[in-house]
Amino acid sequence: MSAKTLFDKIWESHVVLERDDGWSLLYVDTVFLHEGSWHAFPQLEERGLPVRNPGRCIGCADHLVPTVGLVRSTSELKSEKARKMATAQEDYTQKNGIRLFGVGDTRQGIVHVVGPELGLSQPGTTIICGDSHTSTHGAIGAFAFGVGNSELAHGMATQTLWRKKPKQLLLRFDGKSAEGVTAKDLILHAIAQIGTRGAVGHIIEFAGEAIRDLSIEERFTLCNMAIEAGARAGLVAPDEKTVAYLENRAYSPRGETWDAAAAYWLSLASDEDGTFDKTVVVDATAVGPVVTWGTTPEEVVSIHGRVPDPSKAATDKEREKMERALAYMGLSPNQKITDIEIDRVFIGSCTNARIEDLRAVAGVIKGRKASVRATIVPGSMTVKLAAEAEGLDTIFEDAGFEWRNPGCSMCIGMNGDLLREEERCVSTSNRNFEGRQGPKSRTHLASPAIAAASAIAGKISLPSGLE
Amino acid sequence: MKSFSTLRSRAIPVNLDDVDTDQIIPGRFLTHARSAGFGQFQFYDFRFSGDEPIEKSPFHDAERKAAKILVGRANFGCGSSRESAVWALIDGHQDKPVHQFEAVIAMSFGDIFYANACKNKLLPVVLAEQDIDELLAALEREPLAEVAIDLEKQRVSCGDGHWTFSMDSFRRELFLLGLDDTELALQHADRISAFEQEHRRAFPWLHDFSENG
Repeated sequence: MSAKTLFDKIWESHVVLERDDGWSLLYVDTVFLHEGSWHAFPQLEERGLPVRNPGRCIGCADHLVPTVGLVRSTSELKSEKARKMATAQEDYTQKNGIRLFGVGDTRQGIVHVVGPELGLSQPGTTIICGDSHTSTHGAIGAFAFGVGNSELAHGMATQTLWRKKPKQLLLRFDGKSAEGVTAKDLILHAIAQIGTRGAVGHIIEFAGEAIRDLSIEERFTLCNMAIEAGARAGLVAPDEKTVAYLENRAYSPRGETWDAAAAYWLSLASDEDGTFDKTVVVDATAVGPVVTWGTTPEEVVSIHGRVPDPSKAATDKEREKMERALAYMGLSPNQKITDIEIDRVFIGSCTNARIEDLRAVAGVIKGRKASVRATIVPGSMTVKLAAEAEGLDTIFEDAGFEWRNPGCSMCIGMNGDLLREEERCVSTSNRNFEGRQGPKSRTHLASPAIAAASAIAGKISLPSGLE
Repeated sequence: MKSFSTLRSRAIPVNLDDVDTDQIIPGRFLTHARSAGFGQFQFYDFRFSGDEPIEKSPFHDAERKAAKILVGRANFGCGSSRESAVWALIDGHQDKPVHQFEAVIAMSFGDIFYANACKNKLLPVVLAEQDIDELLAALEREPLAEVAIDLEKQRVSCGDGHWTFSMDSFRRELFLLGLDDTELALQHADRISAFEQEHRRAFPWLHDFSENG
């Protein structure tokens, strides 16, 4: 038998049929739906198509739930638009017999946090969701990718999607990363290295010593941002950590089925001579703490460095792009990064809102005070309750941080959590695009540790830079 | 569904790389209902500063209001998977003068945007970098020039310029015949059922989510 990659194994076990032109009908194991996904249902109804397998679909309310104040049910949502969308989600999932972790549910949260933490997302499976950060679930060794609402409708009606097998990029992190370097630093460094188009048309398998050393939660951060390098999906091979992470989760298998599942998951790792279309090596020992300075996730700089100088750009096009980004961000060339003063800090999103992220924040801010407005939005109710059981909420509130309810919040701003014009924010989210956090908003992406330290310092800072 | 063979119209240039779907429709508008048409939010922050129209934006050019072709650069539609980005380009609006695009020409596209465009019969055309440069230069010289797309011949023309492109044959056929790929999948319902039965036997832990938890 020929050698296979992790991705080959998942792909081959899901091909229903392959056409002569290379297109395959690919079986979809799991469909996740957020509030914005409701648009898929009228499409099905118009065509008289039922949801083929409602037991393999799951709904989560995350994109537009408010993060301030307790909301027990959709009827209590103050915003009419939010209420309409959340109600549509409730009605459609109920009508079709789909389990919903909706507004007011004790397990509600961001779909990419909830899926894995409840054991709904499993290794070796194919997962779709109407959200580009579906790549997150790849951290446990699933082929998980974002689709639009029409493809969601297609997936729910047929339990399949038409796909051509994507190319495979092996992103291998050689060596150990230094103490204090986080998964966020690793992925931002890698995106800077390969560019935001570096993996278009590919899936990424993340491998190497520095990746094996990461916890499962850190691997979620990594795979979450695979899309920011242009990859539809990112994957990490399941290992003992993956199995330990999934054991006894609410929807994880039990007993003999568990043993069979765990054994299968451990067999999925890429064979030694599996072939990739492209291999890129990242020197993990050279990665340090970083932040973004511009308006794409590839515009990354060491926190010890300076804002880049467009006059030193290699081409005119590059210079123009840098100048546009600097003008938008309100920065000057050669400014020291740690001199950049900020207005806000946002800690949250499907990238960095899990319990380990919150512990990292608490470790930095304990006994200190925020000097700018800082907001912490946990990834799910499960994360929130775990944090409160550990007393993290007290640490946050004592430090003057806002401790909110779970949702996508200021990562996308659909629920009204937005920056004001020209406000500068250090954010643990995934996109620093123009206008992402509100019109003319200025976003610096960073790890939870840097975001926490920056909130204390009032400017971009490392924990070690605090007095 | 509508079939696509040729298209000729004026064009709107967006001469920037990495135009993400947050630019095509900002997230703050995603809670709106589609009934009135998402076109009103199309490239909103390119067209308006606050509520004030940005006059020099080509989107406001009265001479080009019938343009059905958008010309971008590299990695057009990267970022968020929102299909509303495609809807913002194709929907139009019941009473606001916005474009109803039928094709986007660019050097490359974000993967998800590309798939969403195909699902909605917004034709994505990929031209080489040099060809895009030439096309954008032609439109800068003559902003009102017409651009023609011939999908059968896989050719784009503008003035004296002619460029060829190559679209995946499956995707192209769906456009030419106006077919929807969901129908094609449903034709294989028996194969899907047989596969599913075998799949569940092989992976018994992939149970119904309503069963436990």
